[in-house]
Amino acid sequence: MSSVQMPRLSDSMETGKILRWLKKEGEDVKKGEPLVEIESDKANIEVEAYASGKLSKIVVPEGESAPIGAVIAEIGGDGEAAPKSGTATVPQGQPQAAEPKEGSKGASAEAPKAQATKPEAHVAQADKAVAAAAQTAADAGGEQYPHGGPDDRTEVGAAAQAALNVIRRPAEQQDGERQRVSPVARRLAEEHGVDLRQVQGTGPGGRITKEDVEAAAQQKAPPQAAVTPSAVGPTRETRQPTARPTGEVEVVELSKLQATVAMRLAQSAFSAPHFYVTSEIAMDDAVRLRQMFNEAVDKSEAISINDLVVKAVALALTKFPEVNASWADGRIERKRDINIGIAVGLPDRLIVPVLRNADQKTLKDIARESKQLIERSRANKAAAQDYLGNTFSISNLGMYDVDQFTAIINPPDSGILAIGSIEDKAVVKDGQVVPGKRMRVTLSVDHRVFYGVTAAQFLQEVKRLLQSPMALVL
Amino acid sequence: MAVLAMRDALNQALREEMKRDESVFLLGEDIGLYDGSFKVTRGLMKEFGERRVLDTPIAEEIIIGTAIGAAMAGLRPVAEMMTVNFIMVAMDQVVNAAAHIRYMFGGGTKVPLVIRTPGGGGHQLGAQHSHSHENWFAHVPGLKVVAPGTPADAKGMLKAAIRDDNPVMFIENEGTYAVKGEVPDGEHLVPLDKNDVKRQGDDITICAHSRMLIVAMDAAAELEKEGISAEVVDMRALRPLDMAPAIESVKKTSRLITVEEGWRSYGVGAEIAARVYEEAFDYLDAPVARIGAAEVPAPYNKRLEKIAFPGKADVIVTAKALLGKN
Amino acid sequence: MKVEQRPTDTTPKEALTDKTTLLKLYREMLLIRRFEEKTAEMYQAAKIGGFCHLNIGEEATIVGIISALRPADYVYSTYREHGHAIAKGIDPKAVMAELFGKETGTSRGRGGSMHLFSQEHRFYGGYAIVGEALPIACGTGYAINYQEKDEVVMSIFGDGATNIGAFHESLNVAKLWHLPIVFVCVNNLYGMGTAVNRASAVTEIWKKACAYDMTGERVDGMDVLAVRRITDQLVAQARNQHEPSLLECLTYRYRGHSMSDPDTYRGKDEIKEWQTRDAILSLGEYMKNQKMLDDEEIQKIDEEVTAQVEEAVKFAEESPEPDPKDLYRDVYADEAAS
Repeated sequence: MSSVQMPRLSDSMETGKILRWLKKEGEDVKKGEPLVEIESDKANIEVEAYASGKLSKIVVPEGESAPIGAVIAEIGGDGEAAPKSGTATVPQGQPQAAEPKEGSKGASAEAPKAQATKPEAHVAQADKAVAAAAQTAADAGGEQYPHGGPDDRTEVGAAAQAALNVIRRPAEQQDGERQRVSPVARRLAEEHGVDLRQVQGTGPGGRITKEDVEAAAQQKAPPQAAVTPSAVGPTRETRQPTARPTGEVEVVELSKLQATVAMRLAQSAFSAPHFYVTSEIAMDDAVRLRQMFNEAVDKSEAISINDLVVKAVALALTKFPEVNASWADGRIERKRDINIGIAVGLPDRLIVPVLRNADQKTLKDIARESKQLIERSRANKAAAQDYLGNTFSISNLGMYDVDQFTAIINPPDSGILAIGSIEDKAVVKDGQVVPGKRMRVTLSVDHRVFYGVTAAQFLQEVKRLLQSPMALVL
Repeated sequence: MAVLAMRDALNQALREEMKRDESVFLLGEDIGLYDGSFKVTRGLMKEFGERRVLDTPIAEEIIIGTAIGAAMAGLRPVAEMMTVNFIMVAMDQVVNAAAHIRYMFGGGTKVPLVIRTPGGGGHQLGAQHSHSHENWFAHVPGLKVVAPGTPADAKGMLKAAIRDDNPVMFIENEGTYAVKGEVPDGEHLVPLDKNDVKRQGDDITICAHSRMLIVAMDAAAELEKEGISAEVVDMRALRPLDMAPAIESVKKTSRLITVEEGWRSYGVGAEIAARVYEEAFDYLDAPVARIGAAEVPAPYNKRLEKIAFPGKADVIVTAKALLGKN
Repeated sequence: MKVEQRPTDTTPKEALTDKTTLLKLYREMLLIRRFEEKTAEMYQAAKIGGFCHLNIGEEATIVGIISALRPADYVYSTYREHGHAIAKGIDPKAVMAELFGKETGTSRGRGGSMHLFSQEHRFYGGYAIVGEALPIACGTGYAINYQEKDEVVMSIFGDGATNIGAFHESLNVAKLWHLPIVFVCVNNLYGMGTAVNRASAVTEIWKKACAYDMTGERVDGMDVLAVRRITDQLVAQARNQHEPSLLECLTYRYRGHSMSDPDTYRGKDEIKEWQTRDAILSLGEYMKNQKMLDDEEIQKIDEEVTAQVEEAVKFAEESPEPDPKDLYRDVYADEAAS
């Protein structure tokens, strides 16, 4: 089977129109016979067949055009349509258009005779033909060399392929959680107060782009306050009803981090024998102290209730080293450093960044550092060290109106203190019923490491410090 | 305003500077009697004589070396390297001598020299005749490198280069000698260290130079029809590299494509991208997209060559991809 | 094979036998000798860094060829150039300071041993790439013609350079364009560690000139007067007739290629043999025979040049180092450039 292609009938022709098929479909054709009449950009030309056989298929009918090289008919085939070739390549076996005549190097004709030894004579002896040939070439306005032709390539070439590969690189699962955000999107998000975790990325590989952030910033939906991690100062979050699953069940896949947390909590809950001790702490002085302190300093240096709790716990642990310990394969390991884990709950994960050597830090330091840690964790910029080395942890759901709750110990700790909210209550003081601020805390304990009395005494110490909070200021 | 072809704009520049300054002279292969293989030096030997338009043997080290020695002795030579492909034979003279002499001799002398040389491919001339080396020269302290893409810039920069006291690599392109453009009348000089915006736009920035400037402009015109507004920055000043217009543009559009006729790796685009990351990192919405020749020795076959060298289709598709429109 | 005839020697021979001239030649050779000996010492004392190539043994050639030039004539040299620079008139203090890398050096500490330069003395440089300077020298020759001046260019290089492309290209255009240039090959029989007969198909270098229809001459490079006489003629030929030439001076370097060369490729006997033909000793002997010099005066001259060299070292030591703030100075020739 041989294809009949649109021939190049002039050097400037790019498409041709079929004027008249001189043979019908199914008719026999002999090589050399006129086959079709084609209109080029310059003239109407009768084109002969280059093969013999049955004209099995006419692909481009009369009146239609096709670019040079496109298949216009088939000879000797089975009549199935041939795929249209869209490229404008020069067909094989067709006469090449003549190259511009001035392409030849005129100098190869005759070199100027170099006889004279004095410089000036060369000009005089110059072969006029050389000069004339050069002049003709120049006047023709053409290039010295055959030109590459017009920039008519429509398909993407190899030249751009490398660039496109970069742009279109699919999202990789790198450390599970790293959000791809373009630099300008990140900057704009900060400027407009947009929470990137709420933004869906539409860029290559799921990257959040400038457009995505701009769209998010302009949304008419009630502004969503950033979801606070459970350990930072009290804020209320309002939730809107969300779309329900479309099917009976909507499967939410776990991220790697979520899966790990789930596994470790299960390990902790089911291997460490937990027992729990609750205490209610009078927080009036602590609240007042905090207020006075924050009035005196810059907003960026404000301390939270949690900061006070962290300090109190840390100081208490200096007196109860047996609480600052871990169960390790049948032995108890007492830790030298006091590193407090601060549980941070985000919508899709729970992480516990660690504030190291909390006993040696001032309230100011603790406030600053815990802010930074939590910020980093929220923005997914925390370093690995941030999550290592906890010896005791705190979990605060106080901002969610929770009276009290019990937390699961964060391995390898042996204790975790769950903080509830501060409530105004009627309390008895000196025989009178007066308003007081009360906060309920619950200590979860790994019973293998220490026992009820220690736990109670430890909690007592924490309570004492929080109720006489000046001790925390030092 | 006159409309001139690139080669004629260059011819004018040479003629004007030779008239203006006796110490300016030309040397190169076939620039005199033959009027230059690309006709840039047409008519100059007839007008100025053999002393000032010197036809050299085919000896690249001589072309550059004698130019250097003449420059050190007080003349202002404009050497033509017939194509940039041949300059590799004389790289030692260009780098070790021309670029280093002033500095390594403690500033005791200077080399006011212009080396004019066309690069580029796309004419089925094969692997040894299709190179672009402006990035090699732009790498070398002591050289200045320019690559104008319009006849006006070509004339203005060639005149400025001849008046500059440093060795200047003046990069031309075989595919642009016939390109026409408006050239201002009168004394027209263009500084060697300023780039500019050749087409304003808001959605995406394209940095290009020499023949690729024309490709970028063509692509931008087509993108406009599809509602994409491209800003084209002409990177005609490569060393010193003027990044100011490009940076300003990227800060506006957040997206950048670089286009060059040389190979992509270690090319001009790599330097532009690095500078953009340094100076406008927080403004980028996507990594810089670099378009350069496919990394193969240039093939002879017409179609292979077409896809190996950047064309406007590449720029258009890349622009759309960068904007998330495929 | 057609061999160019030596052009008529019109210089009166007496000019080369008067005491003043001979003393000058003697003193200059001895100065170079002492300077290079001191350079070797300073290099080993780590005062001089990088590569260091010495002219010890080649003094007759150096002084013979360069003394034939006028101050306005140009010299292009190689990396083995300390003696050439001094012979061209550059103060030994400035040369030593450059070797020490100081701001007061010929190249302000930026060049070192291989890149001395002086615009004032028309010493157009030392170059570290073999053969590189020959095309450049041709360019200066072209400029002389262009400006219709009467200066001459001397391009000095070693035997090794005569096998590189640039050598041939340069001789070709020198003849083609009638450049006022004298090409001088200091043939010390070795291109680094390779003897001439292992590198060059034609070992009599002067013969290579015939390929370009050019005057080729060969001279005993240990005889300063012979070198001077032939150079006078060739310089005159270049200046007056714009006929370039190639002069081969057979000489010897007593030390290795550079200070790092263990010099195992030559026999000790060979070195000794050449040293018996030492140019300074032989000129001294000649002058003593001619009653122009006695041992006491020789001693005196030695002390004077030695003191001169010491002074150069002192100057170099006390000169300031370049300021790091000036690192980028002179990359370009104008303030506005980056």
